Amino acid sequence: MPQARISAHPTLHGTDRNEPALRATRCTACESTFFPPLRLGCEACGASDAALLPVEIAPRGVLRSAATVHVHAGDDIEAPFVVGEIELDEGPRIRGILEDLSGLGDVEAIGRSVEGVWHRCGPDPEGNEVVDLRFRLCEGATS
Amino acid sequence: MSVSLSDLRRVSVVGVGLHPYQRPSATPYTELGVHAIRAALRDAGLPWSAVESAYTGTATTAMGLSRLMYRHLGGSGIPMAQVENASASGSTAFRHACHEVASGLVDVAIAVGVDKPLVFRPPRSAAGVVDLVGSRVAPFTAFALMANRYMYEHGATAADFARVAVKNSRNGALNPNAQRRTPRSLEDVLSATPISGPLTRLQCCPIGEGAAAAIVASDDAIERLGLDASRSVRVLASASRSERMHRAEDVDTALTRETTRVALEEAGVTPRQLDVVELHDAFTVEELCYVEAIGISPPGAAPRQLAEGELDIGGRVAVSASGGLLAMGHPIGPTGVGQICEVTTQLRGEAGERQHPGARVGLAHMVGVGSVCLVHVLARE
Repeated sequence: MPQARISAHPTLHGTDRNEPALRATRCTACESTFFPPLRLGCEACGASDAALLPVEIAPRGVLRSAATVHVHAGDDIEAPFVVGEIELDEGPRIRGILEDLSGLGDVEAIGRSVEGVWHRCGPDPEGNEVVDLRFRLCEGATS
Repeated sequence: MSVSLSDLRRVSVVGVGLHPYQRPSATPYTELGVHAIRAALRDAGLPWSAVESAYTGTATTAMGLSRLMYRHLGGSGIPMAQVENASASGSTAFRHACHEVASGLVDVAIAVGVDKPLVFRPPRSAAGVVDLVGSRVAPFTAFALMANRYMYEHGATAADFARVAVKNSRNGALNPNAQRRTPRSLEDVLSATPISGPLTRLQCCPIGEGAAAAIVASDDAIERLGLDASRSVRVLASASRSERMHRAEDVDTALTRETTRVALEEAGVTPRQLDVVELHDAFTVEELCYVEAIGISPPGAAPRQLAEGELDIGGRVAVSASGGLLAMGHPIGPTGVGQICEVTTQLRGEAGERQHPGARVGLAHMVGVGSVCLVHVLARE
């Protein structure tokens, strides 16, 4: 039995809770939200590090685009796979791996709602379950 | 008070030269560069001793590479520096050469682009930036996402993108300095190796090696040095902008729209007046998005206008008459200077088989990862 769930990218997503969540930054000066989390200063208003607050945001949003990738330089995934560009409900536009498109083509899937899910990467040497965050289409949902 | 190029003294391109863009070889960068510089000096009718300042656009070869190249023209002690701005390195070198002449600091300056594809080190890892996709998303996938979004918004098809590569391969076949010189059919492009989304291998530019040089001079210098004023091409505008937070549309398209607007306003030119346009077509989808952002085609109309030949040599406006990045190639540092060489050659009416008839006003556009955008407007007067 796996001992614990370990995040493949601890700076990007925590595993404290059962539901996947993204580690983001909110600027207390201008209310902009950033993912990946931002340090040193706010890209929108220039407020200093002191104004930047770590927050957890839901990996939910709308698929702005999607592309089936045949060639890439990653060493942890086999092509073809689908990359999505997602407008998160909380503001940031991000890119993530889509688990599958439920039989839809890349362009057909655009505009659909998506949500984050844990992807099991396999056990680490201590037997912990390493997870990464990927996305899937929300069931029956359209935006 | 800030001023623009049009407020300063006139600056013109007086000489251009290239080393053909090619697949990576054992040729030293110095040989590539010196070949292009000598060609530009010959074209201008100038000795190297007349050049007072040198800017070298380069990004992927080596640190501090300028002097080892320029010494072969005869060490003259002039100021020289490398300009690195990713894909827009050459465009930025040209901008600085123009500024130095326009401001009156020197009379003659040269912008040289030279590169071999040896070192690619993007800044994100040095900045400690990680995201959910990492190396699983290469540049062509970023543009595949742009392509599928364009299909979603405008009902475009895979063939619409492929037609960009067909046109640019036809132009490149007429360009002795192009890396890809084989004209491709729609079937060739669509059936090439799939890369990402609708993009096939022939819809992605080749990264090779090469060099390009452009000499700029003031009116004083043209007269004093006895240059052929009838072959000089005036630089009407130089604009450069960087990415801000755009929520509404694609970053590079928004940046192109903003930078082009600044350049055209400075030049006093409307998009409809452009005769030749060299743009950053590293991937086919970019040409469609950027001709719309520049204002050459209304939103969503680029595929139809392309298919009807409006963007061909001899059409309404010749887009990437050189073959563009897709066919002429994209050796990084040289690319932006090479665009200036092509626009200058077209405006002089010296482009031979690929001459766009009656070319009078031209625009050169580059995007560099980061993102930055450079736009220059040139005209024959």
